[in-house]
Amino acid sequence: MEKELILKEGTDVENMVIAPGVRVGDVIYVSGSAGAKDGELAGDDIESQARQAMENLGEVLEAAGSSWDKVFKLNCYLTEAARDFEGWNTVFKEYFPEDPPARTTVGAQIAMEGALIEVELIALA
Amino acid sequence: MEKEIILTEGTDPETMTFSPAVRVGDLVFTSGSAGIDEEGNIPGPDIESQARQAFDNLGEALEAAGTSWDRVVKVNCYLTHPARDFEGWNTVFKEYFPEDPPARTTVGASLLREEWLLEVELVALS
Repeated sequence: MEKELILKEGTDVENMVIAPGVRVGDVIYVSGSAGAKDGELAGDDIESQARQAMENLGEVLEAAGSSWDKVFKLNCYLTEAARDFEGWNTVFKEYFPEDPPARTTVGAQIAMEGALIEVELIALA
Repeated sequence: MEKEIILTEGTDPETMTFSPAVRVGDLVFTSGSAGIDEEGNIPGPDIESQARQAFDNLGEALEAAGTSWDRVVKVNCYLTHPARDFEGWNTVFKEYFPEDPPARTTVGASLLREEWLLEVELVALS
């Protein structure tokens, strides 16, 4: 098997620290994403940040030729786990109305100031 | 490869937010489980009882997937009090993996409820 980097539009290959995604065989690993676009948080609430994080991940899935229904594992990190769990579930269900992936959600600290959520996932190609 | 949803007894696929486990190819990925029962109650305030409850929950997912503890290849564990509870977590871990244990990572994290002490997820061979 080979390791194939998944890039999305605008990814600067020369300067990127991490790959947006990596494909190995039939599996795609997508890097963790916060709810920000171009360095700006989508809002100060969990729903808007969660949607932005999912949109960012969706771009990588699309670049890999995959899609939401092929996601089989997702890990989520919340800075305010108890407070934001319900809002996170609401957005999660929008993206996975049926046959949802396995999921783990825990509280953690996130490097970006004000970030409430970081999400990573694994999908079939 | 296809994605196959693994349901445990009592799981309603119409209302569940996430799947207990998913099989892809030869691997089964479980969702993270805290040490709580179906009603969300902890068995006790200590790491050992909560770790056993979490493992029993995960064992149901393994069984539903037709696999078993000896086929677990990776465990990730999140402890709310890693320094205090690491030893107790290891004690319970060894009960479930007396030989040929899986690869494992354990880190500190916060969980949804103050009284929850750990969350565990795993990957197993089908």
